[in-house]
Amino acid sequence: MHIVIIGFGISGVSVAKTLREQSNADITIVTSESKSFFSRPALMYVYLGKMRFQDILPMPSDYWEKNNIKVVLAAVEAIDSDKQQVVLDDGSILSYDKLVIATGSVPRSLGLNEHNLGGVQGFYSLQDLLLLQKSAKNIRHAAIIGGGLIGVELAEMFLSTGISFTFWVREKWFGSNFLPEEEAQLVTHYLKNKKIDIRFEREITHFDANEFGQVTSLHSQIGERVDTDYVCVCIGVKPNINCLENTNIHTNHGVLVNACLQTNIPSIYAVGDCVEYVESSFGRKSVETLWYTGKRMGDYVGRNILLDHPQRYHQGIFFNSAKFFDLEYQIYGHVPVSPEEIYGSVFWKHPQKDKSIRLVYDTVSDEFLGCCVLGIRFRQEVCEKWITEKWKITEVLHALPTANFDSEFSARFEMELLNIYNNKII
Amino acid sequence: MTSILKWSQWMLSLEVKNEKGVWFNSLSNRGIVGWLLALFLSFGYITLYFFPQWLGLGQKGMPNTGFIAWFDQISIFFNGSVASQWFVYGFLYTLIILLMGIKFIIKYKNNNYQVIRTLSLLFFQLCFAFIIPEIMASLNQPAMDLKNMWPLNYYFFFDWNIKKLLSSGYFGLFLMFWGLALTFIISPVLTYFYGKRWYCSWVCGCGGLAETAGDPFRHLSDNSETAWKWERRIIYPVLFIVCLMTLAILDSFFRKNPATYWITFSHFKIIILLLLAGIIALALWNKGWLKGISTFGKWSIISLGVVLFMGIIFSWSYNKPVLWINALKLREWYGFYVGAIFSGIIGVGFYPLMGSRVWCRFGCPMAAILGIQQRFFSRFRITVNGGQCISCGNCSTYCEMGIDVRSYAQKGENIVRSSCVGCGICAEVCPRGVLKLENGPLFVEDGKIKF
Ligand SMILES: Cc1cc2nc3c(=O)[nH]c(=O)nc-3n(C[C@H](O)[C@H](O)[C@H](O)COP(=O)(O)OP(=O)(O)OC[C@H]3O[C@@H](n4cnc5c(N)ncnc54)[C@H](O)[C@@H]3O)c2cc1C
Ligand code: SF4
Ligand code: SF4
Repeated sequence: MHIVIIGFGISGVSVAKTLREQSNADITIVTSESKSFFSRPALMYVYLGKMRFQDILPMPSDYWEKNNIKVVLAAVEAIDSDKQQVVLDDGSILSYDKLVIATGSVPRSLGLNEHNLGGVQGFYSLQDLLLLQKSAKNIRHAAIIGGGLIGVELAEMFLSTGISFTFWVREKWFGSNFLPEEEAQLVTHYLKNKKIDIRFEREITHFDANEFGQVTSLHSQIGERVDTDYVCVCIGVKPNINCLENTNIHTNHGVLVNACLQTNIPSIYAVGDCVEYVESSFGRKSVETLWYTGKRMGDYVGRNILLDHPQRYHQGIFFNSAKFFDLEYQIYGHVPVSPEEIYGSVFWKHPQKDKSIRLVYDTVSDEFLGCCVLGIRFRQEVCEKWITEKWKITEVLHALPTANFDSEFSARFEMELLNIYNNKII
Repeated sequence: MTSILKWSQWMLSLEVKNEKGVWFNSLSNRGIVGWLLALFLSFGYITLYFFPQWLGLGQKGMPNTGFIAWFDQISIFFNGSVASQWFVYGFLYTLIILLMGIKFIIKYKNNNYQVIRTLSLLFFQLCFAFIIPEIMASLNQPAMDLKNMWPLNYYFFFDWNIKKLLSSGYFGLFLMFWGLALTFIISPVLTYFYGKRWYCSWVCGCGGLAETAGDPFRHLSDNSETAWKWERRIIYPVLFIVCLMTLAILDSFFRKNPATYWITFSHFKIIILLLLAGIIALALWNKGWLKGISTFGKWSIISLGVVLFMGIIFSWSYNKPVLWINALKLREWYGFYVGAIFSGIIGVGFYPLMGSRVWCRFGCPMAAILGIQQRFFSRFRITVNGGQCISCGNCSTYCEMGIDVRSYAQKGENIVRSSCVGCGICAEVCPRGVLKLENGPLFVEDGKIKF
């Protein structure tokens, strides 16, 4: 039995690791990025000098050899699902019994042909990091386009190395496309305190370039022109399905899979960022470009790929976490961007500090649906328990102390939330 | 008063930049500056320990000159006599902990655990290690660092220390009992409830220096499996040697004064044999809380125990020093190689090369004992928050004890490791809030925390 995995990111690795725990099957991982498996979210720390590249490798580098997992550095050019073969760019051919597609994402483009210009890049891969490190010395003024999680990481990177930059954001507040308004305002306020030149409600209309094709300035829709010799476009990512063109594997935005993460061809599976999971449960996107989702899907496929009667994939309760400079953010369950419109929500914000808690519940059944916190840590097991067991909001409010995961001696704010809720229902 | 308040407000408004760029800085990436500092520190220790005359210590009653003489007035203020090399050492040690401690507090001012823990370290260093012993000395009483316990304080059971304490009236007696209680009652109880952190990163002087002056170097601790292996290969033998040495010295002490004290030589023999038998029995029993020990480890403990047991009985029955050990030689050897070279020159001098806890991790017998207890009989652990880990490696990189925290966190496993000193930095640097230091089995039942 030979299992070929395309992609050496967390999804592909989770498949290989879990599979190796169950079986002795031959496993080959093909990747075009790096022979080392590194943590993608940690790339920024290498740039910041907080860690070296070898520090962001989640597993000892001899793990693969010890566990007899072959890693091939090459790009997959074509997949022949009839002959059960993949064709690599060095001309060699790998035959498989089962194939796992874990090709991750690629940065979205502005659609302004910006990637033909010199000095314009995305921030996703190891190559992107190396390019940025090389360019950094010569940047006079940079632009970060896109107010997402990667954009804010770049802002931190530029700020720490003293690169002057402008942060271009389409939304009215930072994060208002994924945070409720109060939280978005809090984060925006926090970022403004960092003395970042951040411009909201801006869309880039075009770039100027010099005779060498190097970017020199950019224009926004309100007619500004800013001299810029380096641009990082981070307006999100989309599934990387390039190598699936000209195959009979069904794709839409991403690779389409069934409830067992199988594609339309039963011997081919897909996991992670590249997947479009149409059976996604209520309130969740069908394309989830998250580390956690990739890990969960990978573990699931590793456990089930060899079974004749695989179980269905369970998404689990949604959770995510992020960090804006030093401001931590966590979300559990379902917290829509405008929770008050459909649901009830209890929101507390610290009068001085950058901290907030929001609990969302169904106003009809009083069931707890989810929560998000800024500057405070919650316990995942506890939040998941409340959601799966459909606790009532009042029960949750009384049990709130059990969810706190802040370090010892931290100030606690559970009573404030309870008071807000009580005042609200009177 | 108001100026102090203003001053401290000003201090707290300062920002110490986070660990940005530690790998870009020649001081903290084993660059040329780091090596120079390591050389400077090591030579500083060597001169202070072995060639204090180079620093101007007065020989044969001559007055101090040069560097040491700078501290004469301070020493006279505290204890009435001119500075000795040990006074200079203690004074500088405390000063550095205070200054770097303030820097540390500013850096982690948003984390109450770090602030309170560091204040505790500063307090114990300033009062327990420095001021109180100076006051004791100036009152012509035996000077003792009240927080320094056996086996870190390896000379507690030395004949001269016992004699000094027992000849100093009630105060000496109090110190004797305090020392015994620290080792055998207070420490086990506190370690059961809070883990070894109560000592290693809240109280201890070596820990105090490591946490404050050593903070910029914590990422230099090797976190490979190999380093972990060497850690176990060195620290447990050191503990073993301390125990042997203490046994041999007490043996020679009782041999000279078989029945002068309320504990006689025969009492002593019985206590030792019972202790050993107890350890063997525990290892044989090996149930419940000892379940983490491998079969190999278990049988090595048992066979070593039996060999020792027989050896002790034989040597005593031939009326020879216990296990035929030359207590004086061993003591000299330990004082030089472990006391001076390992804990001083390597322990501190190598901060810029091997990280801040070289001694605590590879050498300290106290840490070894507390660690064994922490691993098998303590409520302390680091909890991992579900599946939130993004395997970034900040925790493993900044763990000063070289624990590969990530290897547990990414599997969602709680961390219970004998070497963890509970500094809490892994939890502080984790960008996803995955880690939390906790005591006690925490059962969440009906929404209430139950212990
Ligand atoms: C800067 C940054 C920060 C992030 N931070 C977070 C975070 O904090 N939390 C979070 O949940 N998520 C975060 N993410 C997203 C997270 O990294 C991704 O969701 C995750 O890496 C996806 O894993 P994957 O294995 O599906 O794909 P990837 O990690 O993208 O791996 C895919 C691999 O496949 C290779 N590949 C693709 N096509 C081919 C081909 N044809 N032939 C050979 N090899 C191929 C690629 O080179 C790549 O190595 C972040 C992403 C970035 C870029
Ligand atoms: S595991 Fe964490 S708390 Fe323990 S010593 Fe390492 S960094 Fe400190
Ligand atoms: S610092 Fe946090 S997220 Fe990073 S590896 Fe450690 S536990 Fe995981």
